[in-house]
Amino acid sequence: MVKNISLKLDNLYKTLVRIKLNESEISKTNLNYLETSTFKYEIKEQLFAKDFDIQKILIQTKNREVFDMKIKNYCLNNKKNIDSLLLLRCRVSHAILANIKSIWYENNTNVTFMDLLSIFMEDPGNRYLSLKKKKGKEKREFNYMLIEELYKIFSIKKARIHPFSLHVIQSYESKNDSSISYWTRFLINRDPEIAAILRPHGQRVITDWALIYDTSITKMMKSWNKYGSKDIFFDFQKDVNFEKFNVEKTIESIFKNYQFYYPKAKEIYRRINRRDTGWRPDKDFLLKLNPDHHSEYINFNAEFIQKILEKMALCIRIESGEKIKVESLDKFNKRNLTSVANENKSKDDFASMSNYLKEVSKEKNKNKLSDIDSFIKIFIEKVSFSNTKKVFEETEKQFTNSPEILKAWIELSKKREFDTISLKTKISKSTLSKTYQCQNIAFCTSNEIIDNFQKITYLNKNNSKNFVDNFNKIYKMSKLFDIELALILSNSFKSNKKPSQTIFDDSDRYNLVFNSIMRYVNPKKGPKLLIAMHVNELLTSKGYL
Amino acid sequence: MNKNNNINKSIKDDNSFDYELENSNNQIPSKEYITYPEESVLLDFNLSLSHWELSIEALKQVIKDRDINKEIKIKKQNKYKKSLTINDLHIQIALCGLGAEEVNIPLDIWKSAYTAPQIILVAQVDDENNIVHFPGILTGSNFIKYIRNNFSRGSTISAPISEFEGGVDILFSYLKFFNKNSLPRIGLNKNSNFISLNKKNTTSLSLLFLIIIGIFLGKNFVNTRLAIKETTIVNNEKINDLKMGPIVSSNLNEKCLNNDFSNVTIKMFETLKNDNNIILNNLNCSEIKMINNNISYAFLTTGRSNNKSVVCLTDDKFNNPCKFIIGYFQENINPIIALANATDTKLPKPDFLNETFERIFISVNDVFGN
Repeated sequence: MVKNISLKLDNLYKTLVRIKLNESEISKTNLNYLETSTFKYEIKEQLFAKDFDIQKILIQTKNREVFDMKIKNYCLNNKKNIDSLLLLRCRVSHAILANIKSIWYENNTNVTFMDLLSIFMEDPGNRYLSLKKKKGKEKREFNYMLIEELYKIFSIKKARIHPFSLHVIQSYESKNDSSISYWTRFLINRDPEIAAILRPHGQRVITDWALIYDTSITKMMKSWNKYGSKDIFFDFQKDVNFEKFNVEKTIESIFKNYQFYYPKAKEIYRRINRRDTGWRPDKDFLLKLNPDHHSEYINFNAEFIQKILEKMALCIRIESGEKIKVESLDKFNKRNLTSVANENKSKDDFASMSNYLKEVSKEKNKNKLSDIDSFIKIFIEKVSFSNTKKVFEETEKQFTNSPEILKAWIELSKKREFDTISLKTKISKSTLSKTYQCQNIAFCTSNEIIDNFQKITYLNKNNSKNFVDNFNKIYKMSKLFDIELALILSNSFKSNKKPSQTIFDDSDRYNLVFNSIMRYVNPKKGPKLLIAMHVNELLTSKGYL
Repeated sequence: MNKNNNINKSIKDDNSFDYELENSNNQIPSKEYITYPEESVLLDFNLSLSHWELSIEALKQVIKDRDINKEIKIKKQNKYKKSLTINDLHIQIALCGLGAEEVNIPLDIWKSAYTAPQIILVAQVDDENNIVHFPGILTGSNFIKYIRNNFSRGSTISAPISEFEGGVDILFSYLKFFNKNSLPRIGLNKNSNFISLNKKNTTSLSLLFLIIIGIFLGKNFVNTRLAIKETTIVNNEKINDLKMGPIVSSNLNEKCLNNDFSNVTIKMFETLKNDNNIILNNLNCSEIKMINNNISYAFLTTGRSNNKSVVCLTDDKFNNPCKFIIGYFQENINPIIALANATDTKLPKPDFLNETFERIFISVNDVFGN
């Protein structure tokens, strides 16, 4: 066990992970440096100065501090020392590798692992750095003084320091009370580039500050009651009896104040900085969040309020994470039942509209009533098929250059869900969404159907023949749709008591019809069964299957 | 190389490293990434916009994606009131976070029928990732119903996201097919009309409009409005099962400990108690608390119960004008005049050739709020 730990530490602080250029492959691709698949990473052992003694770091610093902080403090006290900084650079490089691996495996991105790694793995591990100057190059020692200089330069540009590892080391503070590995993960997860990569895959990376605003009071209090604790108050002010103090009310009040002040503070930040990311609450902001009613014995200073906010965010994250875990488990357990259940759900949606129409219909002939069912079902299917066909044919041109698009359609036709298709095709969920346009198909379908319903509503014995003839000419439903059914439907769309009232005057009835069509064509959960059926038919008729 | 061994040994012997290993993992939340709804609108990452601006951008993007630019036009925008006009429909956008389970809807825009929207569209916004999700809409009339059932004392009312259905598509469908006249602008008017139509001269409401509103708000609305024209107060109010008897203590906060009643409530009970023509019932604390919670939108009016003229309190003038019977009038007096005198309210002039007064609704907040 000790041996294992020793080996692990050997790797973590003595070796540095860096990107390696595979020269042979580069020559093959005519020095195309953009082709990132030619990159690989390597773990390189670092050489330290003979007179560098790590004991000095341990002796000079406080015992309670985490080990990485001891090294950081040593760096700050010995800004010209290259070796102490190199220890941290090594440690950060391993943390980057571990975190990128975890992101890459956990999230189904269409970015290659090396592309993802190269965003953060920018430190070659050199002891010296050559900087371009007006008159040639300048060789600089890679020590903490260099970090400070780079920090000034990048601050002007309002960007993070490059290499990323130096950004981690520079921003790593004792008040974080965490290892540099944790801090690396924290910064990677909040990096705008990662956010941009993960967003199309249905994931969003969000800072604590945006997350608190993102949540509503009920959800926040639910999370706090589960995962929050009043220990945070005891830790802050030990001499106050918190039993009498209503912690929940305080939390609620701080949260409400936060919701009120956050958009205003962000607006000011946005105007000054012309960007959205990077906002952090300052002291003035935090003091505004002081709870409205609180015990006079408690000193709600900015630092304490920040701690409470961070705890709130953590509770929300855990709650969200747990929710996902539970959902995933449910999903896993119900995997085999999903398609059946969703099929039933779609049928239910359809049935609710159909039943409603039958209920309001004055017609008592059972055969005719069952015709309403068949008519609406077939009508929706016909319209949604023609809309699916339009979308399919638009993307058909891309099949030669992007065979994965065809693969995606084939997967959809197998009644697979977006997650599975994305995993199989490596196409992001948002791209799949844009390709299939399920919502648009449903929207166009409901528009066309409601447009016809509107015309049907105002039919009477005198004007129905022309409409029915035209309708059957377009939709080829003469076996089902006749004057009699048209008039039954017309009555269904009117109010029994007031025939001048139609579904187009009654939002509840209208919503029922609209939502039923939308959900039948594009159910929110589970596979898109109707569209999948259409795609299958299209693929077969066009010879792709 | 020896030096490196030395580093290993030092790290291994240092206890703080164990502390770090033990504690660092505890701080890592189980899930750093949060999912978002499939139908969300993903805007350009480089946009740096407020929540309101992002919601407008998202709307524009959906209109573009659906290829309905010609049919759907965003005309007016009011970023302060968070409202806009699409085609000829007045819409309020209620903003909240993408992870929110309920949304706070500002009520100031709803006070007057002139500004009241016809539809509320909820926009859930993540301004760090520029993601917007539209869960759905609520029509003005349904929102008013919601307010009635869920009283709010503040300037906003909280509504669960689940109340809003149909996504943004249903809004576009409304714009295309739905009868706009069936989406009236209904305001929460504190003065004479709790509900009024978006017409400058609300007093000259045509019977036709009354019927249209009646269809939306139920037959009781029409009945009640028509009843205003009648000179006698009909005895058809829902009889409240509150016990009759004088109120014991005028000091409500003393009577009901641990209750922080508003000044309006206290002042109202104090004034009515001191009036010689009114005898207050002995309400229990939970009833007073319920009244207090809804006092901002309450009206005082008159009614009949057990052959007596009674003092009624209501937040629903049209469907339940005598929600609470809080007291009764001395016999042989005109209750309308007595209530007007007690509250120092000037009665409106009776109609021409009509010598009796219409039933009055006195806004508690207006009379006792200052």
